[in-house]
Amino acid sequence: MLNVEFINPFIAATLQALEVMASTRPQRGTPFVKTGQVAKGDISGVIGLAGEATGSVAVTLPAAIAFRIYEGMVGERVTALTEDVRDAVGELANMIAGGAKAALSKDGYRFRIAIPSIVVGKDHTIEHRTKGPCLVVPFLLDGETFWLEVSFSLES
Amino acid sequence: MKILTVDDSSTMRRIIKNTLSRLGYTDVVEAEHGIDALARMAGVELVLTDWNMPEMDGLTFVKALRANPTYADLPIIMVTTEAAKKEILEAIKAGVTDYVVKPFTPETLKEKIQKVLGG
Repeated sequence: MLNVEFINPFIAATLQALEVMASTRPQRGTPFVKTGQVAKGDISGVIGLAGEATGSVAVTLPAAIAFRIYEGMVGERVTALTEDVRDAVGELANMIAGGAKAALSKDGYRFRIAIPSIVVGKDHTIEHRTKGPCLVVPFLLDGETFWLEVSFSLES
Repeated sequence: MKILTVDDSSTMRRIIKNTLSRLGYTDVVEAEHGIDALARMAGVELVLTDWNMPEMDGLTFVKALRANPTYADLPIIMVTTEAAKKEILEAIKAGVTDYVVKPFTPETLKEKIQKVLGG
């Protein structure tokens, strides 16, 4: 069961990471529940969460947004999903999970974050670590959409 | 001054190297995790290390350095997404000199580096 209150720290951490590290300010859209496992983006950074709360978070991006974020972070233009771009997307997922972890720890929810993994390709799948629902938050950046997926629950 | 940056993310190492370069520090050695870092310590006068890394994490790396009298006074900045109070206190207890939470601005990193170097 995904408690909706858990989604807000992940949204805040996404916006903060992108503004501070990549000088971008995406607009948040309306969240929805994901059906199926296929991701919408060309590249996804996925990170597991374990402890009193368990789950996983993924940021899934069209290639053009991944290039834009990489350029913002490192200051170099890229036109392919290179190993460097993959690494940057993983680091973005890491910062999102870390920011949410810090915010949720203030409310007494403690968990560990794993090393991020990267999935690349059209219609790739993301397997979240809980069987519960996965909330998807769309963000608009430079006329394109990317998505934050959060599947998160308290251990009973 | 020789500086060691330890992070499993090549992106983060690049960002830190760019910031150091703008500060005039160009002698920068890179390592991907704690074990790699311990092998590259010769002549290092400042360490910037991530926490969550494969093989050996940053906290274990810091403890290993502080267990060696040679590195008792070495400035060590932990640069990590671990931002909860409990983790920050744990890192300080392990011996880090200062702490930078990701995401960070170049200005924040610059201030911390200058602070630990007494500049």
